[in-house]
Amino acid sequence: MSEKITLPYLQELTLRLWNEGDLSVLDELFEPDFVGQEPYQGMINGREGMAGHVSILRTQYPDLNLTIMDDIFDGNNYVTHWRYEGTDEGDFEGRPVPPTGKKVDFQGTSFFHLENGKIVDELRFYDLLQVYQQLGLMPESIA
Amino acid sequence: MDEDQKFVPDLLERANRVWNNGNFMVFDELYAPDVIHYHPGMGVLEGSQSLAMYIRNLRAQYPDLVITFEETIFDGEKMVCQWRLKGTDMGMHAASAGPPTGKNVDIKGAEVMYFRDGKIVEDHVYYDQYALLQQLGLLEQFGVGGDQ
Repeated sequence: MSEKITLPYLQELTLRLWNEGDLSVLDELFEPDFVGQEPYQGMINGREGMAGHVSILRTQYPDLNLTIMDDIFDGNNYVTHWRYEGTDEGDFEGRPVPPTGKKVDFQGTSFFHLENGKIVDELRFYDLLQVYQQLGLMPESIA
Repeated sequence: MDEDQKFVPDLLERANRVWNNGNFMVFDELYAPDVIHYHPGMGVLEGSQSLAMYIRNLRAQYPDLVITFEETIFDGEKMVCQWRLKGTDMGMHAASAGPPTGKNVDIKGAEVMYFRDGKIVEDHVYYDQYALLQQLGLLEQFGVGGDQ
């Protein structure tokens, strides 16, 4: 079962999930009780949580494009160095501020743990302040 | 594979000496002279001397700074490391020209490192500056509380 987990496979599924909104990736690759942690949302709970997370971001950024610049897979751990681009155009229920129309372009890194060929957790690192600054929601210098 | 296994602990030990102990004797073993260091809020630091100055300023800002290196992955060419930084803000800092906040910070971040001849030649640091500024109490002016 774990022979099919290769770096190209992980890359392909990651890009399908984020760039095509293909939520079947969650059933294929993510544990039901997956836990994610990321700066804006905080905790992401389960496949449902991840589905909601990806869907809202793809609504907010209709042209969302994730690029995996580099990655490492050692059999149990998958780490990506990624670039995230998109235009903040999409409105949705409960959005704290209206769409800004601004483009974001930032980088970060994610650590995934796998067990029995499924992702059990993700820890994502990026600078949320930089995103707010690109959206014009925070000033360039905090004085 | 043996070399790889030694490479990570040796590198982290050098990083520990430079960042935590301010021992710059091993600095040139850790970083190539033309290292490019990408850092939140600072853009790009070019060259090891710029980076050395940044490290000295950071250690002055947080005199009791302790960085622990946590989960690390290395594939022979590039390394990604999680780290945790704890310290007390006793100095001037880049976020504002204001006085020391005296606040304790405890943040986690990660770093992607690319190598040439065993030295870091390109380095991307990722952490959430927003969370750091919250801990320092510098977002209160925007109506953002310190404990969230």
